[in-house]
Amino acid sequence: MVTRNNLHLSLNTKWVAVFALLLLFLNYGEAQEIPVPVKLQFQLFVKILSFDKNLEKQTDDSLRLAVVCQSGWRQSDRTARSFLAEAAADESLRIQNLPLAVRRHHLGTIPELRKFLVAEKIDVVYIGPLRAVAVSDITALTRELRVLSLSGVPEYQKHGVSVNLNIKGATPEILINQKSAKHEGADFSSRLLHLVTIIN
Amino acid sequence: MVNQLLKTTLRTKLVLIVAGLIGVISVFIYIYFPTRLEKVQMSSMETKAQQISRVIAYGATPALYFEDRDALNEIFAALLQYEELLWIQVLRPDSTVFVEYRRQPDNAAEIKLQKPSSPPEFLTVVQAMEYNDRKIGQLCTRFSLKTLEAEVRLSRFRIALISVSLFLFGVVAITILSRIFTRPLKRMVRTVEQIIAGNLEERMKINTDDEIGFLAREFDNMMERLSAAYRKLDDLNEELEIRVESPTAALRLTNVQLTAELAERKKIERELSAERIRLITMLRKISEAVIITNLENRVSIINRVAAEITGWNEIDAIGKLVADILKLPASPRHQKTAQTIHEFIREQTGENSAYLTILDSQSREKRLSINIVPIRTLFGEKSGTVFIFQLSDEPSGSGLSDLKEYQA
Repeated sequence: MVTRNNLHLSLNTKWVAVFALLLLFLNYGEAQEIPVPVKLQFQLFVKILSFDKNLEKQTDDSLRLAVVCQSGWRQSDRTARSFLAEAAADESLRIQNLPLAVRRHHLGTIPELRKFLVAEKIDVVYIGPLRAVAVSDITALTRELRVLSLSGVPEYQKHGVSVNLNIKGATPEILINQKSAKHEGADFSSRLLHLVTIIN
Repeated sequence: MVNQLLKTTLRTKLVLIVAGLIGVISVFIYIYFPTRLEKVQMSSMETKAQQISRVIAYGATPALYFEDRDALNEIFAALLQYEELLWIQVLRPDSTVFVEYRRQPDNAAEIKLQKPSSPPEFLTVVQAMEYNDRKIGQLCTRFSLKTLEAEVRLSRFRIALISVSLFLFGVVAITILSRIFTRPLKRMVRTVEQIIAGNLEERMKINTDDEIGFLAREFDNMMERLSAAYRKLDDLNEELEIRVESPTAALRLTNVQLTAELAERKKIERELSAERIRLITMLRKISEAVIITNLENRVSIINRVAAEITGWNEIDAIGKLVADILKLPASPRHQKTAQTIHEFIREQTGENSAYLTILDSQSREKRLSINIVPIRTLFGEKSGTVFIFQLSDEPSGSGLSDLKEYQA
């Protein structure tokens, strides 16, 4: 039973507890680390998207990409900013002859995300490192809206993200969930598929 | 044929032999190289077809595995550049056709594509398609050999052209070369013919630095020496003629003189002979015995009366010593009888006449009245002696006894 006296812990004890909690959060964040640098991720996703045969059909005049992140978590925010910076670095970048437009979305609730995706006519979603969020809810939404989901967090492949990046040895490994990708309206060329790891 | 070839000139032989060789080489080139080229091109075509099939299979295998028809169409569209490629078929493992590509039948080759029973015009390659070490189908490709055949025909034509050109060029070249090389020889032959005809002043005059030039120069030098020798010989002949001409003239004159003299002598001899015949005839007619001797006291004429008295045959007596004919009775001094008698008569009487006894050929003693007259030439030289005698009845002991005494 917790008594008031018990709550009166010494100052040192309080700092130890705070440090322990901090370590706990840090460990949680490390579990969602991204093995492939964001710059390389951006370049690879641009290449991967160029092999989507349905991309041109599903977009209007430009390819709209949303970066979903959590502003309250530094790693997620930093990843998102890095991704945006890479996209902004080359203004003349075109994928399948479509200009790329990148939007940032601070993840709140799933309905808010749905609203954002619909309002912005998003074609592709890049899911940054997230915590305390059910990624499968996000992928269910992307399947519903036929928005292709990308992520640099390898663990998210288990939750139905269509395209993931991992490191295998010293080289990046592309993981494609073909079933999920089809549900999201993507049709990748066999020239890409025979180079990647297919997950069904 | 070989004999006829051997009889031709060196240049003709050279041209015929080399032209024949070039002809053989040209025929060899025409026969061998197109066949070889065809084999090489066919092999190259097979290799190329296999490589193209492998490349197609490499790109088409993922497309088949992921059933990506768009990717296959892209691949096939890229293959349009290969005009030889007529037909591509991608088959699933159960042999059902996944994708088939045919070039538009805009030419005869495409029509024949419908009849794959004409293999010489096509080359078909079957390539297995494997993905992750698992067979997922096969790729059949068919290539037209029309282009290859056209290339072979063109190559054959070019090689034929080259062969004919080589032959013609070779013949022309060897003809020109043979002319160049045999021209000195021809010049040498002409020169030798001229020299054989007697023109020793003809020269080859070949100034090349090769063996023929050396030979010609040495020949010219030899002819120079020979001509010089002939000139020298002519000079010597002329000199000899000049030298011999004056003695010859003298000899000719002498010869003329001798001939004239000989004629004169023959005339004289004939006259003498006639005279001798007349003399002999006359001597035969007269009744006295006559013996005429020469300077050596050998009998040259003896008449019949003398032969009867001496008992000698006229023919046997000719050439004998007169002492053998008018043989005196045996005495060691009889050898000198005639001379002794002659000298004795001249000394005793001043005339060469006397009586003496001789022995005839039967050794019978006969008493002769003998007269001995010397024969002298116009210049007073003694040339012989005439013995004129007859049997005498003069008994011994007269004047002749003195002789006998003298003989004793």
